[in-house]
Amino acid sequence: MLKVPKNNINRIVLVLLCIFLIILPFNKSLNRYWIRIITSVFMWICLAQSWNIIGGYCGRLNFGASVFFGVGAYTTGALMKAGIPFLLTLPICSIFSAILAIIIGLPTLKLRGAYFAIATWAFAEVLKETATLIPYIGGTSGLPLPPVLQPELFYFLMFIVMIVTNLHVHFINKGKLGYELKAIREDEDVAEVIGVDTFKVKLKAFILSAIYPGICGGIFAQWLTYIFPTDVFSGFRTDEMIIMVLLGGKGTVIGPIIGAIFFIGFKELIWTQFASSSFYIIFLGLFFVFVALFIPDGIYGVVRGKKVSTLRRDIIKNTKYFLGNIISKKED
Amino acid sequence: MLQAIVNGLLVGSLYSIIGTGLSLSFSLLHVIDMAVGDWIMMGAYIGCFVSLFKLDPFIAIPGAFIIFIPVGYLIYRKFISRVLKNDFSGVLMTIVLTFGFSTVLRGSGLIFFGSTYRRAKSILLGRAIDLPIIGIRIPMVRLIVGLIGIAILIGLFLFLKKTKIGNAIRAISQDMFAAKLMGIKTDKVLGLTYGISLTITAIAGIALSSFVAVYPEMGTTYTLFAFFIVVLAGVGYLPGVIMGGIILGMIESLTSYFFSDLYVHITVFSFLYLVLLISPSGIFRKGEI
Repeated sequence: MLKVPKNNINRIVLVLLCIFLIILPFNKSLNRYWIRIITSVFMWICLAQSWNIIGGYCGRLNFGASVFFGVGAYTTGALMKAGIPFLLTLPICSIFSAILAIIIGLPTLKLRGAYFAIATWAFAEVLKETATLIPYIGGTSGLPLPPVLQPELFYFLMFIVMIVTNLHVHFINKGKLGYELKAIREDEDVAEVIGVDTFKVKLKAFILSAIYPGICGGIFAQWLTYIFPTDVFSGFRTDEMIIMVLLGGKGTVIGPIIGAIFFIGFKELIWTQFASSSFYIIFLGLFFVFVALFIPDGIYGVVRGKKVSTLRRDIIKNTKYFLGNIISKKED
Repeated sequence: MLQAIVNGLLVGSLYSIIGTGLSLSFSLLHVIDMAVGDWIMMGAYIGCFVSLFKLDPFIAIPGAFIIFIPVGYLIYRKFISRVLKNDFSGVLMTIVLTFGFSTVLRGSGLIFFGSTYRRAKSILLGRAIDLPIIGIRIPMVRLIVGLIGIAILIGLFLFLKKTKIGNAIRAISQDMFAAKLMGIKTDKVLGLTYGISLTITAIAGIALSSFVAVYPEMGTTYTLFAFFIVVLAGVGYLPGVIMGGIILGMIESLTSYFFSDLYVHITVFSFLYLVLLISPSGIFRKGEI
């Protein structure tokens, strides 16, 4: 959709940015506080982007997304308690998250959008409680993990996961899966008629949106070296994920990135003003209301102009391309 | 155990009201109110507030009408209808909107009321009816609560059938466009409907405050319960909602009786999971889901 020269410039800028970010932690005079902030920004970009897969592209608002994060965190915690080295636990986290996604997805993906939201939310709440009841992983008092001495390790881990997530979503956006997801989002019945296997596609998207938070959760657990259920399964983490995507622009590749950076920036500013967490909760809620009322397409939507949603334009263009294929095949 | 069953029945009628509130707002307004539980929390705190003045919390019930009907009306007209009309992803955004309300209410509850557990003191506390033959005792409070539940349901039913506005609401639920053609000011009537839905939810909250621990996070439990009832009953099917409420009440009290309070959520939820796997559009009648 962009002309070739601009594409190239974009790519060069991105590569330069990545190189800059990779070199950054080697600058010893940089305060470690910034390294931590940037690491958490990476994590949030990854989380937001993965929520975008099911929430933005597929139009199914998953209000229980922190479930996968929490499962990843506890998987790493429990496995490390059993003696398995850290890096090995991460692939296992992704497998468990995928399994959980299938378990949750089977009953919930059949539901219409609104019910899906509450159902996934309910799942998250109940799993949070269940985690407090299992004594092996520490119950309410949490689970400690062995400490690691180099904070830079997490910077790079999160960086890698973030890049992978973004690339994956970029390719989803351009490919067949993206088209099917957008079709489902716009009108599921029509998508079914066109020949999209809605359930399978939704399940695929759901699983993909689960594995990256799972891995992030695992990294997070080792990074903090102490996890407890009300934190990793926290509904607020889900809320923040959702806000970032909605704020930035759901259903776009760059939206969650914008949203994550914006939101973390905002949060740091507000945090220094009101230290009270209860005000923060109200602030989050108001953010939701604001986005729903005024900028449902996010900042990206505002920037691109509210008149015609780029998503609609996107779909119409893609439809002509793909329908062309389908129709000509039928003519054989 | 019979005691547990009776308790469950009484609480169940209360849960039915909650289910009705959610059902009303969804089937008519196409708004899935994610803030149901938090409105209950608000109602519960009103009950506690009233009891601070040594008054019975149930006295607050008429007050709930006065407060929540205008509040609901305004919220619908100003926020919800705007979001519904504004965007092509309107319904999705109402979820976000009501979720925002839920979060704001929870945060406000935390700030204004603090996280200590409270309970409203009713003069009926401690009094009970003993039925010697069957061997159960029914606390007066629970009995009144159960009766309130039934009263509200009957009241709502009569309102919908007999009054002019009730007829308007039913007309809208059958065919919105035809209702508009008939001259019904749908926006205003829907605003009123949302107000009513909030009011009955808040009344449920007031009633709950008399025998349940009240704290800002309690909304999450009741949103879960409301959802359970609506899924079980199919949307908009009133007898189903009533039955759903009663079943929920029974599950809750029987689980507390046989196992422990802690497992109630998980049990309710496992039930819900099974129902969703088998028949997501409801068991008692297939609603649209």
